[in-house]
Amino acid sequence: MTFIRLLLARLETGALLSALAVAGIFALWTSSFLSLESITSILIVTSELAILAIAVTLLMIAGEFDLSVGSVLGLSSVAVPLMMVNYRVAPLAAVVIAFAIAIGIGFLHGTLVRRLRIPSFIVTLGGLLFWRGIVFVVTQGFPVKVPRGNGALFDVFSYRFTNGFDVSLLWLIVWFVAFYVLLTQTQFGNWIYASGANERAARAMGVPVDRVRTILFVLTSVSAGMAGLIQVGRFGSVDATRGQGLELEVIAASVIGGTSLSGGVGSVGGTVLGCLIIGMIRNGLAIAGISSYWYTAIIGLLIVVAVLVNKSTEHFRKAAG
Amino acid sequence: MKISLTLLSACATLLAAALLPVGGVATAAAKDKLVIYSIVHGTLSDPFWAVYRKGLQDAASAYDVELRALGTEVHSVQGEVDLFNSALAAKPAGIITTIPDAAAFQEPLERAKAAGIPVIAINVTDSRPKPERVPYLFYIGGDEYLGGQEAAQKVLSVKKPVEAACWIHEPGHTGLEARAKGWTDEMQKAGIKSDTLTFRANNPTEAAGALKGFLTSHPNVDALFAVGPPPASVALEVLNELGKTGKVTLISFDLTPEQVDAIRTGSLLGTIEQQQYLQGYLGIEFMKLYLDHGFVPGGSVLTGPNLVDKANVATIQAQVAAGFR
Amino acid sequence: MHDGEVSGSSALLEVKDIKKSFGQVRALNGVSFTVDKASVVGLLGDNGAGKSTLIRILNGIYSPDSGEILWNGRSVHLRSPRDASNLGFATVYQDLAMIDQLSIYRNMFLGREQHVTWKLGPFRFLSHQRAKREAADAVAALGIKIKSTETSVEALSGGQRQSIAIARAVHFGGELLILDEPTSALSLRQTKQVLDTIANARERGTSVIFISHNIGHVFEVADRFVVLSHGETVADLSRIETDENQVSRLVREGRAVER
Repeated sequence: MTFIRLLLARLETGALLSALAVAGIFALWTSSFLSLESITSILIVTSELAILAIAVTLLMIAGEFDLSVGSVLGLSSVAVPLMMVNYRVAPLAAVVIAFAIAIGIGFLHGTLVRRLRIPSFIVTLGGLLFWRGIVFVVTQGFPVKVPRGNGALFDVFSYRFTNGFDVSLLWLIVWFVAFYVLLTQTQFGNWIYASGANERAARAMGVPVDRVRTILFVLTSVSAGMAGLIQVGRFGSVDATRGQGLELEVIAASVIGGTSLSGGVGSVGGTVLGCLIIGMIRNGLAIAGISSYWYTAIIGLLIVVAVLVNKSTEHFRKAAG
Repeated sequence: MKISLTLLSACATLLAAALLPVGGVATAAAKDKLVIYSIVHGTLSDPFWAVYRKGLQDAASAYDVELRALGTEVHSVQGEVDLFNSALAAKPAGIITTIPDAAAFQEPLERAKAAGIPVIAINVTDSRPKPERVPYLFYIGGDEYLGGQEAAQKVLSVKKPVEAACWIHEPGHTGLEARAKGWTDEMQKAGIKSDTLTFRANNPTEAAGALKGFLTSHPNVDALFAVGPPPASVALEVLNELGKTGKVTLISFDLTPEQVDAIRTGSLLGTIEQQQYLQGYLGIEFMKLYLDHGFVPGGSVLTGPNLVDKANVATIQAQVAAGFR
Repeated sequence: MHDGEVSGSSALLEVKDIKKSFGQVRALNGVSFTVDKASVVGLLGDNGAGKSTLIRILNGIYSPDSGEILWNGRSVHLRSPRDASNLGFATVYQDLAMIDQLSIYRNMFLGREQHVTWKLGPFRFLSHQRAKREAADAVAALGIKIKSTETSVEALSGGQRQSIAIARAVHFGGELLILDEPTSALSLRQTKQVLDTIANARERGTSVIFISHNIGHVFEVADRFVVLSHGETVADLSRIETDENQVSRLVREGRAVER
């Protein structure tokens, strides 16, 4: 009985059960769901989404939102080939500049929220539209081809091994470990929880709430840049719509994983599970030949179920702390 | 706690119930039937793809194969590649797909070839010569460049425009670009300058505003080529609002009931259709023939261009209503 | 008494004739009282008597217009909350500055994690074991019974929460705790828990200024009673000198009847 209690106390249990359920349903449905091809397909989608979602989860725990991640992904992934093609910038320099742009954008968002006291929802909603607009302006709507022959550098971000696994999976692991440790094992992590759960109390105790949040905005934008580069490595071209719609998927994954929209509560592992669930559903439905409209309906249902599960197991968590 | 568990199981049952009927069909489906996937880069509810899908479905029942038609939620090359990967994982008998971006599809197509899964390209493809292009068996679809040319030729047959323009609503779509190029080249041969517009048409109100702005600032443009139904629809509306219907000669691509009506009333000079029903139907048919007997046509199978104008619109109207065109 | 000279008395804090005005409003009009080492002083008075202004002055948030504050016999100027806490003032406000969703030990070191972290580059890694242990010690030192410091604060009763906030203040070197309405909204049992904690704190040498509307609660544990009214000290009586009724009357009527 205590083991079950311990299990129920974990924030990630709901997401874990859902992931197992989804995997089970699809595996029974069609045998090819568990094939290597299918699994590697799922993992690629999961990795790209999770690298974004993990950083956004930390920001949500700290009590803020970042709706611009999809657009920042688009901007940084477009910037690289554009610089290489139009300005003859060396690939490595282009990558560095792309990350610098991402850092700058994150810092800008954080500063706007902090100085002008505008809710992050609004600032990053503006960012979503503004940066996407910039992408359209610089590309004129056309996709930009990534010059081939720069294999080595872009392979660092995404490279498909013969067995089907992609380097991006390793990046996911790196992101997961780094952010998990940051959140649960450091002073900064304690500050993240405090800032989101009770901003007033945190400030009263001397926690630099604004600094914490600004740093997290930078981290989400950098993660968007990273995800963008993984996609540059994967596809030979970047189109202007790259990344559109990801912001909601990222929030959905976080919520399914146990993150609370009001801050103070969240789990990196849960978010990764949420992304895995999304990847499995996308892939599973496609294998089964079902229209992708079911995908959106199912994700919507899953979010509500996930929140219900988390609510009902809340008191186990309180007891265990 | 007890109440929540009940609620939980209720939700789980709901979820399963939503999935099972659809799933039951899939598992119950005869394992003996050939499974063929169709993947397109747009939404299946788009009227254009709906006609295509009818072709697929009619052929699938005629040839008794299991059809799995997939599409993306928005025009997304990346989404389409992900779908293609999933389709490969299911190890089907064959895949029919559009190839809107050769670079993005290079690696997945090579993997399909290595896995021995035949791929037929439809609707839009990498049109480089065989040794250079991405691997697929053959192409079924319209010849886009020819289509653009024909559109220009039709316009030139009724008048000599002062200035021309063409509107590509999905920049980067190689097929649309080829159409535009056909038009522009033909116009150039006749000594007429043609602008290319590239704003998206997903939001009709915004697109209308953009087109209005362009036409107002370029009063000499009196011939417009809309390379698909969405821009055609917006253009019809805008010309009407500006009172320029008839003064600006409009010609389009693809066929919808709205365009049919416009041709009849004369606000649209004509439209170039690619008969996408055939793309679906022939796609399945040729795939089955290839799987059964290994037949491969000597080149591309062209389903277009085919010009629809006032002369022949009456005959095809019933077909449009029935969803065949 | 000159600056710098240390008196031999047992007085920890001496407040002498503090005056403070905000524009036309005279909030404090000459408040004086003493808090001895290891003693509990009840600070009473109706709303508007000046208690909050006084507390803010002791916290270094405001500066007095005139008057003197002596800490351990030395005259001090509290220019900021940091000055105040460096000296040894620790205020526990009504909302406790606790994060409900976090565990007791995380709350214990909130904002002061450096005491239980080890550094690696720019990162400070929490030593969970040490934090839990020290938190448990801090809590036990004041006689508070908690099963585990891993429990989240929201699972605790109001009395336990208040007690832990006090334990935190004591643990980080608070010599003089200022408790603002610690027992309001608590049940009888929870109140007893808090009063016991306060008594234990005094046992360990900490002084407490106990602000409350509830004279009965204050009487359970205080050694002295300071009553404020309209910005003036109306009474400064030791436990022996007075009783609940008298103090009640003083609070109700404000100034001693003079007309």
